Amino acid sequence: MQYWSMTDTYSAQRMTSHPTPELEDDADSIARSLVEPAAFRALFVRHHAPVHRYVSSRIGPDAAADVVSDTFLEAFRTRSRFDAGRGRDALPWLLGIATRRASRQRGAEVQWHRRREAAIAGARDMTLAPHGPGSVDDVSRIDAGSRRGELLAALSKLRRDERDALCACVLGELTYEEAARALGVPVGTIRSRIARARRRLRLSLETA
Amino acid sequence: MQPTHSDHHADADLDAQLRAALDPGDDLEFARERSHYGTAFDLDDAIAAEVAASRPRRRAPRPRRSWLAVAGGLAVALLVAGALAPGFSDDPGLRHGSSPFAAADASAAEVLERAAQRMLAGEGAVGGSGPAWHSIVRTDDGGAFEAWFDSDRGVARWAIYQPETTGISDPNSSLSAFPASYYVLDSDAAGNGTIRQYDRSGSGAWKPLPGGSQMNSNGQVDGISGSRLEVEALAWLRAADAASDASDLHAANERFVERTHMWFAPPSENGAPGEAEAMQLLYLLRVAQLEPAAVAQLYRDVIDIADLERLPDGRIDGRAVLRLRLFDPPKDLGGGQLASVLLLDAETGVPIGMEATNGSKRELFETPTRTSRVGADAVSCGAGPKPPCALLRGEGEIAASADRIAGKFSQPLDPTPGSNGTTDEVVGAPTSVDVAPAPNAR
Repeated sequence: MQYWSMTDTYSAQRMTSHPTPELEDDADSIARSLVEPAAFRALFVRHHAPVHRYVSSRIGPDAAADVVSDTFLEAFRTRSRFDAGRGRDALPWLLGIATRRASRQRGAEVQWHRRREAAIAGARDMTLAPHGPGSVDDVSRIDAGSRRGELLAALSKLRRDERDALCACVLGELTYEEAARALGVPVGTIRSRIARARRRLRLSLETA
Repeated sequence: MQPTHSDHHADADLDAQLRAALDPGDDLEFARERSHYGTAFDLDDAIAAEVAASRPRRRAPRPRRSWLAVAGGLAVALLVAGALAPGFSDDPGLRHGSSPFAAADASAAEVLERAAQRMLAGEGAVGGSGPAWHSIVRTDDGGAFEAWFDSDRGVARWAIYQPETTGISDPNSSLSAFPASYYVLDSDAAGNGTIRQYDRSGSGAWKPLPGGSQMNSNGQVDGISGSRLEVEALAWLRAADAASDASDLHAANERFVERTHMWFAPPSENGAPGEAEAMQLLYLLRVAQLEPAAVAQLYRDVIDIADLERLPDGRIDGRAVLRLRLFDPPKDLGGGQLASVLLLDAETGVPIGMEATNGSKRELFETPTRTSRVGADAVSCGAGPKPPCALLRGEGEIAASADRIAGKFSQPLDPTPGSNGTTDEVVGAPTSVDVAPAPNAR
């Protein structure tokens, strides 16, 4: 268990000639990890939270743990293929792996959407019950809740590549360029997929 | 056609609705913590495997998890022992929950054989001959963690079995070979504990733990309390509290062992850097009361630390400090050029700084603020001296949970007549005639 090897620890490194991990960017850490595998932990420390948040939003917190773990393991195994020339921030790369992994969990994604729909419906009922219908605030909240439930239903019906592109930008908070790197497609493709996805979602909301 | 301002606004609104619709909300934080440790564990294994594959080792690789399980298991034992034991001691329903290796006249080999048979037969189930709180969890390197209540002596017991250490054990068949050593911790209703270590030759020695309340008066436990172990111990209690059947309880135990194989403590999140190592060291030095040379040997053999040497204690700003010199590469391979000294607060076990071996440079860590989060409750505390603030909150919860657990297990988990609350009948299960050896008898 390498975390128990003191010479691998951050504290020990501070006293040696190793580069200071805080001063490294992701590309540096990955490059160093090719010689010192333990250096890859820096990536994990930096990016676990956003990767987990993204995967949790896509397939739910329950199913996210395995996907997140698989994501970092795959990233570790394939780190030699990380192309720093396309960007030194590894988060888009990690989210790309996570997206592919999460997309394989179609059942979990559908289940998560249903759970959210149910939760949203429950919250809507709760809003309605104590206050009664009629107030502007209630109406807007109910309306928002309805829209979200329908939005999830519509999201589930999107094509996978459109859903991946949209989620990478909206949930993963990637730019179009980063999403293009993450998903391995040209940026124009990302733009068109997201535009199509939004159009379909709006259409679904309007016709619902 | 270029998108208009209103298009952007509509897109932003749609995106916001989507984010809100898929927001995991309150579930996220706890799930993130769980994921953090699980992923760190997996990643660490992958890193270790690659390191092992890429360099010649000076000796056969040794399984490490069993030792980590030792520390984790014993630490949580200390944490919960005082709370759990009173609840069990008056429970006549636990009369059959004696140790499988408690016969006073049994040799260690006999004891181990019986334990091995028992584990082979009872794997995956809460075994035993009574409704007692008793479970066995195998670690994936061939070790095992066993917990039970010895009603004959009125003590809660935890045993941690290390796998065969003369080579890599086969996870699928490791228990066909006897473990090389195992540890037993007894804790009575007052929280007084005794630790015993057996080796393969059958010799064992009781080592009394520091007296008083194991929860608060022991520096090592204090050190651990600020770690993830606290969270895991409380999570274990909660899960055991909520257990509706034996398999739930077993799952809780298994999860605990799994989670405490590694105390991953990234410096940005869990207090001072090196804290995890310090906890382990203090455990070895103070709780297990091993000599520094033995600690170094253990690290070399089991944990694969390059090398370690305890230097004379010192004082910094009025605080007693332990000084541990770390070598990389190992001394016997000509190491020393990267040696440095880790400074630990002697009271709490918290690392407080690093020092150059020649004393020319000392770097004291900033006093961190740790946030230990358990469910929706969060408590922040400094890394400073006792009392361990995490446990101040945790104690109440431990006690409350322990009361409920004790009450629960006073009834058979499985009410089916004749089942006696167990899921499996275990080959080699002990009988009520087993008598535990007296502490310090060896």
